[in-house]
Amino acid sequence: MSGSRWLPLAAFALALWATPGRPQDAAPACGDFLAKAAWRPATLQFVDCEKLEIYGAPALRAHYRTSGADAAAVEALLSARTHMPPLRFNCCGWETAPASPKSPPAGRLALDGAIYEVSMTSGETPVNARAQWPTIEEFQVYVTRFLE
Amino acid sequence: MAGQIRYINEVGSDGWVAGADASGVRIPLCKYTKVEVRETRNHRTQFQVLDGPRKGAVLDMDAHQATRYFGATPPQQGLAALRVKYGHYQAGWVSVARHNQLLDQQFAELQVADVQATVTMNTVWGREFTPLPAGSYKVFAPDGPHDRNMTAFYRNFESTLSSDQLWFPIDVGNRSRYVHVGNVSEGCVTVASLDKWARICEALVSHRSTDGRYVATLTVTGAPERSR
Repeated sequence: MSGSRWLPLAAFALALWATPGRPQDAAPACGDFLAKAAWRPATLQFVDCEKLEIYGAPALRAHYRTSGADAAAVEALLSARTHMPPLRFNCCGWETAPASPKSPPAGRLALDGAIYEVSMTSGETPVNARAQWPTIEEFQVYVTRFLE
Repeated sequence: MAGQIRYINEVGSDGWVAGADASGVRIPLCKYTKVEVRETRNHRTQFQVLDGPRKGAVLDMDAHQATRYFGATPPQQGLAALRVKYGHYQAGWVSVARHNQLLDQQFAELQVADVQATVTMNTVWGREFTPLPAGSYKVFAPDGPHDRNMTAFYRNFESTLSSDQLWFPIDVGNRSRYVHVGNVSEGCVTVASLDKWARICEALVSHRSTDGRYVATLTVTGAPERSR
């Protein structure tokens, strides 16, 4: 086998190695990111993780759920740990909403040298009072890592 | 392309693209946001946001993405004319998209550009919000992506639905009323004609006031058959 046959492969490997940040970003695993960070509360159930396009870019998104009864405590924990903005009712559902347009749009979690974004939502619901959160069947929490 | 003025001319299917700030956090930008490209280095294109809620932010994105999403087409100067005329109230309207849920809808007809659509002005009764009173209101440029869980499931019913996370705040009260897509309204202008949303969205987002804050003037006429 001629050594020249390996040149394109070597050049490709070198290009990967030479691109800042690429080796660790090449194939991050999708999974339970909060468990990997070792602080997922028992009231937050891991559902799945999928690769999808968000804001026009590829991303890995871990999905969790919690009951309406536990949602306030989970919101407080995520806010304290990741600075996730508190949920706000917008027609028609509860969602992570920055205090101002200049504020970060989601919570932030540093893990494995990457930033993961943390958000929470009730989905569409007519329940617009915090005191009535326990009547909402479940809330969803998303932990997202962008891939590019 | 360094120093060139560009606009977000393409967006993801959710209606947004995002640049990363210095800490790596994604900052979403809507279509027709004005940017100035600074430089491209190490496969990243750095740019400054020149209008909208994130005006002044310096962000970067993958250079290939920048080539794909940035373009030379600016928004139209001036406000789109969005007209809503109250129609009938229908108790127990069947929302097929919401698994045949029965909803009490105060309907209205919307027109913007050459698009006509059915909207619901209220679905949830006896609470804080009621149908928007007749009058004239300004409509802001989108404030930020709204959670996909609020609307993504409508795509199961209308496969052409896109930009569903693009909502337009109405300049009234605490600005929690929006022009958006869906079947449930709490004092919003909620576009129930899911197949019309993409065109309505483009008609709105393609306009900007001189200061870049607004996209449309909303004129509401008539009176709701049910007001509370």
